[in-house]
Amino acid sequence: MTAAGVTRRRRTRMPRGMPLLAALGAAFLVLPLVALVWRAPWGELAARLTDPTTLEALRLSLVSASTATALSVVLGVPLAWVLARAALPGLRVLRALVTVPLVLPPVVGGVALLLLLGRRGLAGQYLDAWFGVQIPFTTLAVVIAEAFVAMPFLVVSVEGALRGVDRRAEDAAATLGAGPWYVARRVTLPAVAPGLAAGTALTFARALGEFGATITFAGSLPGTTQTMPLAIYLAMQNDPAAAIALSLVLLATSATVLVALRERWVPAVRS
Amino acid sequence: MSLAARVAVRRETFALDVDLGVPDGGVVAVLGPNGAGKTTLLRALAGLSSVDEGRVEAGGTVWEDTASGRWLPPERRGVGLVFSDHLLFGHLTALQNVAFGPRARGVQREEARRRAQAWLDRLGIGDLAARRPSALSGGQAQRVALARALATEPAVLLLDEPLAALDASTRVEVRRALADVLGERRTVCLLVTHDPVDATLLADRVVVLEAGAVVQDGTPAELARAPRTGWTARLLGLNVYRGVADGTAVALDEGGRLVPAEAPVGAVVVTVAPGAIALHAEQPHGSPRNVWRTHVTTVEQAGSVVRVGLAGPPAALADLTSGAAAELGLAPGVEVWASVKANEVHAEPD
Repeated sequence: MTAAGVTRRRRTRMPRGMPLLAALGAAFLVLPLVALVWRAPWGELAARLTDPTTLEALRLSLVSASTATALSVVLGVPLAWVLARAALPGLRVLRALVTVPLVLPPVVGGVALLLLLGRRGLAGQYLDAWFGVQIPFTTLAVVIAEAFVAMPFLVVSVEGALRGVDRRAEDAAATLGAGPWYVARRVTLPAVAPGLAAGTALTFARALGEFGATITFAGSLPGTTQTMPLAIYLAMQNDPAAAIALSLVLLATSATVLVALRERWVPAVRS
Repeated sequence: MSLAARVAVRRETFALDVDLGVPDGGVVAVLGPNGAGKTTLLRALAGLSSVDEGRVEAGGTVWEDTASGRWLPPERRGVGLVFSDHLLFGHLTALQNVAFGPRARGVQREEARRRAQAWLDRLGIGDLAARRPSALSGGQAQRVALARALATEPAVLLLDEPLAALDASTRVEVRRALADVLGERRTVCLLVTHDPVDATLLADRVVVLEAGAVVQDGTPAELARAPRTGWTARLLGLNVYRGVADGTAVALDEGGRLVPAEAPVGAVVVTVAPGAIALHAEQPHGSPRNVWRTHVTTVEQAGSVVRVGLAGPPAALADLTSGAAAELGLAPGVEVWASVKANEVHAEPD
């Protein structure tokens, strides 16, 4: 009893009012989700979710978010590598520039993409004139918009992981006969795997939820550019029950990503 | 597999300039205070940090020559590198860690595994092959690191304080394993250490680095007998003997007996600090358990003390104050009585 008393006294030595504020904070984050689940049209959920329009939006969302994530990994890992390792002047400026999309309102990102890749854009006009390629309002535009907004998450988390790698392990590998690419594949990448996994999950989640840049740069064409978030927004105008059903799907997907993130992250942190 | 190296490195706050030749199978202990340039020297030899001026040739191959612009990257030099913290690859098993070098050099998987297993067996940890580094003790991990470095059959083995992170008993085991492998190989070995026992037992030559330059170079016995600086005197000069203990006294291999405070049974390494040995003109009476008659071989001033060599057996180095040395009239040939208390004699299993 004494021991428990001591423990309890120590646990409650917290600034007065802090637990109350913490409870408010938790409620603020959790209650909207509770409302979503509470008001879900459970009875007609199955019918709603097998609706061809919904399935089309879901398929498009998964395909474009996966592609954007793959693109982010392929380009983001080398970018993180250079940011973490290279000794170049102006590297700090570069780091600041490539992380701008993290804080930029996505709709501004969409406008910026249009100004680069739109039919009259800096690069887009030549794509159109020389190759007859028009990017805006295509599925490719969706992928580009999502990758633009989501890739910084991958870069930031992989760069952090790379900074934590003991370079002497790479030195040891080099003396064992491993060239730079071999060291990167067999030593460095495995060492940053937890960070890479976390970054990939965050990137995928962010790409899946992308709205502002997508609607600006790719529009909302059912079957081509209308991803789940766009479909939800449109459904909310005239069929709230459909919007709720679609939202549940995204919520479930996000929860899955979070679980995957924890399971791959937590054991790695322990070891 | 001899090594001939001249390495000059200049940084803003630091300069290193070392000329070093090591014959086939030579084991050189590199001693020096922190910041003396020991690790920089090893990294330069391995090709991991740049050399401003110099030439490195090992086993008949020129690894680096700033005059001709030749430079081999680390992966094409035959070097093995072991750090005090093993730095094993955490995502690989012990076996995979050891097989890493052969694999990186293009050896087929099965053959690489076979060699790796042979090295683990050789170092007495064959049964730990399937373990991840996180499931190994410090001593086990350090043996795996050693096996990993040796599995590529390096021409030059670079050991950066390989025993520093181990506890006392593990240290003895790993040191013995190291002595065994070094003894049977023609590999040149550079061993950075802070421990005079490591230097004495493992190396046949000691190089002392201070502020980026070699201040002394010779056998451990030469350096101990005539240390050129106070730092070297403090570090080297520990009297180290091998012998067999019967539970109370140790019969030394070189002759003579010493009684330690606590004696195990079996083969032991006995250490006595030079400062713990007292010299007397007449046979001393009273408490010292260990008293022997001998004559002086050398008398050297080392910093603030006088280091006196005793013929033995057991041969020993004793540190005296200048006053005490003058009072005894010490000079080569003078007969003296040496004594040391039992609790200044340390015996640990060999």
